[in-house]
Amino acid sequence: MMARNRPTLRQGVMIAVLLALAVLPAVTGAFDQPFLLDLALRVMILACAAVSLNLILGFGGMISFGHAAYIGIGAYAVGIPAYYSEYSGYIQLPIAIAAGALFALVTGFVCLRTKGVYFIMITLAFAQMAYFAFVSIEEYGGDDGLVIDQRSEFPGIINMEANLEFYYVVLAFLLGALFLVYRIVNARFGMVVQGAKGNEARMQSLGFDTFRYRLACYVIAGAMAAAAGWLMGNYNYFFSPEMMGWTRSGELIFMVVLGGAGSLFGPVLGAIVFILLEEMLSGATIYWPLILGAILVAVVLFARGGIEGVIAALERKK
Amino acid sequence: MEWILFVSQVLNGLQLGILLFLLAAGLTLVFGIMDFVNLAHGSLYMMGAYFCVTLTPLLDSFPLAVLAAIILTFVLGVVVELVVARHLYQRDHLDQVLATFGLILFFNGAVHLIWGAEGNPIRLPDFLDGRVTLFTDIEIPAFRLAIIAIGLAVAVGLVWLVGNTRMGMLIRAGASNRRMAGALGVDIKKLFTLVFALGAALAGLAGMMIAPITEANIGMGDDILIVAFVVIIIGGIGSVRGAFIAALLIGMIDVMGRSYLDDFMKLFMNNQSAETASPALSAMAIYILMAGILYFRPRGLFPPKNR
Amino acid sequence: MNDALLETRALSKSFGGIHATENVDLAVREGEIHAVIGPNGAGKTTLIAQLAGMLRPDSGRIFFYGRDITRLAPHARARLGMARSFQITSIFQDMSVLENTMLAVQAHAGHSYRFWQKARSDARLTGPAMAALEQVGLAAKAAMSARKLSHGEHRQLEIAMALAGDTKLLLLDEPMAGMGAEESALMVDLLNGLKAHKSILLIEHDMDVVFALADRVTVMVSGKIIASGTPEEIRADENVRRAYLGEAAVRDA
Repeated sequence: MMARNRPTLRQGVMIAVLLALAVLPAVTGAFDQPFLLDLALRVMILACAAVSLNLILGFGGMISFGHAAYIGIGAYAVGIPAYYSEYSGYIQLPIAIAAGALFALVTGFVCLRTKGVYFIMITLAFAQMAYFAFVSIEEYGGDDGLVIDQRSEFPGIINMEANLEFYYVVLAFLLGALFLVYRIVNARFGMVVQGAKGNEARMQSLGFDTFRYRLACYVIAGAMAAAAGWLMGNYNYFFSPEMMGWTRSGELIFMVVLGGAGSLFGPVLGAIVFILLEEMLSGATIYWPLILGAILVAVVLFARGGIEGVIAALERKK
Repeated sequence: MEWILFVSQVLNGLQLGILLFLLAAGLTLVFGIMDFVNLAHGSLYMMGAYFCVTLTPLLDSFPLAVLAAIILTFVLGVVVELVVARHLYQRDHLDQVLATFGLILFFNGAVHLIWGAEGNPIRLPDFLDGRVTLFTDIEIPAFRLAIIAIGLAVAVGLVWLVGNTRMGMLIRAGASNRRMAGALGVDIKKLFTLVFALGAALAGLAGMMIAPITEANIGMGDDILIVAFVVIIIGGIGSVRGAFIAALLIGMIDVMGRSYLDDFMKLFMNNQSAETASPALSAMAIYILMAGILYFRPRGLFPPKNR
Repeated sequence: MNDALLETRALSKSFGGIHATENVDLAVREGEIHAVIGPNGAGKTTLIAQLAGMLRPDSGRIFFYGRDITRLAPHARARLGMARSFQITSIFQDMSVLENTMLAVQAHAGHSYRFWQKARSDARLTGPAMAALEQVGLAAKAAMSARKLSHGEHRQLEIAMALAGDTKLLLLDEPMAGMGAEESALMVDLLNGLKAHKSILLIEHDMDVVFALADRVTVMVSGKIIASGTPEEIRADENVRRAYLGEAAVRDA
């Protein structure tokens, strides 16, 4: 995060990965591998959500275990209007962002009064509340989920039904999310949020109303994750409550920590590794959760600092 | 008829409350004493149920199978504590959450491998399978009464254990002040293992109680675990008494909300909107209760003293 | 009493029947260093916590510039110009020395809902922060990680942070705790140098420090004020000698 003149290894990795994502459609087109493109889409959408989680978890120290709820809120902001034949993206996307922000504002108001493990469990419980709310609304498919018959429309600007165009919309969202978080954490606001992570009482004695700043940060992250959910709904043409269950929130945390919490690009690396790992294991055996679970435990016990931490260590060695 | 339904719903609420207490008791002790967030507690609940699935036909007796399965879950608790949990007590909560989340995946995969993906029923012996008549006109499944009786007995036993025995004294000392318990010259590592395994056995027992009703399923502990967390948050982390009261409260509210909320809401709005809104609202009721309690008491109803 | 910057009236706080502060009437005047002394457990830290707003008194009032601040939140008091240093050094270990100080500047530079401009290169923050670091003699170490400072330097940084904010009154809780003789002497010089611009409420154990610095001294025993006055008056006070200085004299001997 400090100003450096020479590009570092970490910056190099980031640029390489983003370039690779940018040229991927050309490669998969040439070799006729639509499956890879599909995988990359999933990675990027979850990476958007992970980047937003990293804003509160990595930089703000707020361990939210309910981030998948925002993905659900964003996805239903596609599905429910579509159910009433309202397909305009100019309506769906603002609804997604506003609903995500509102849910974060209301729940954050209670969650952020608590600390430590209480915070973890309460974010978890609120997400579970949103999950059960969608499960119980039969009108929108309940448990079975909601089929979305077409993607959001932006007439005259972009046709999201075309997979290639959709791909670059998602990539643009990912770049936008990364840039937004980069600016936020380096601005005055970000300094306050990071200070409150290290020592909240001290921030208050300096004169900061930390509760409000953290709440604002929580709301921003919620709105970003809901935008990722909006992409997810469009990507799948379908959404079910199961996709916003608490284990999904756990996976998002894993992505952030695997990549390196509190580093800008770490969550993207974490999302890539997690999805590839899941893809490979589930291809190899139906008992893949057994192996993935063991890997997860091992990562926590033995590899601290995540992938970004490893790269940073390599940098220091040079 | 009305009040027959009401009484049986009260018993249902009591039953859910008791199961939640069995789960929450271990969770709250492990958290209170070791400062350890154990998401895999629900997996121990599931493992208890599956042990019972295998042991019931093997021993040809459900009660004997339950006893044996409790011992097995206790042993499993010891193993999990030694291999994973104890290395995480000093780590931050994020690491604990992640590692135990990994354990959930691991156990779900393991159950799939050993018992298959299908649900596994447990056949109850005849004396538990029938119905019991209460107050001349209310029929209650005998097994539900057994669950309530066993649960209450365990609750009383646990409160006695924590309140009156030497081990209980150490547990209470540990819950309010970890360093002090260490200063008392207790082998703190052994105490931790014991508490963890005790919690595992209680969770396993809850799983065994529910499996004959719902079958044993992969991931059966995942959702109820969150409710157990709500219970210990409301009760105050580390407090067995708080967990008991909160568990009964949550059990009652959840069951009553599902059966009576629509009738109640019809008093205020038209039938159709009441029928649409009430399932969502009753599903959210316990979380709204939790939010309300935390707003006024951020550390729950019976917060630990020296934290 | 009208020239009092900070004033408490009948301030009381008890924990489970033990009076940590009992009917404390204290007045800190503008531009003075006011020391509060007393044996361990006299309630000094509880007093500071109440003044800074971390603890709410059971009864009594606190006034700052004549304004009743008894119910004001800690951050709001800080905005009025009260800065507190902690008994246990409390800085942001993950940030640089300069960033720590910049946060203090930022706290008094309007709201911080600024999401876009980079803070680290903002001269409106770095300027005053560097000035404060220069005042305490830490300017050369501005870029260093705060974690790497020595104990004495941590204390200096805390003072710099207090200076960087628009501070009227410094609440210092044992600023010399854990310092060597040399570091202590430096700190005494530093605080003496601040006297002209800031008022200071100082909690201190070391009598030499207190008598070298303080314009006025208040003595607390078991939550109560038993004497208040100039250092000379305190030295001559029979009650104080018996309750406190006597004990210290015995210990020193």
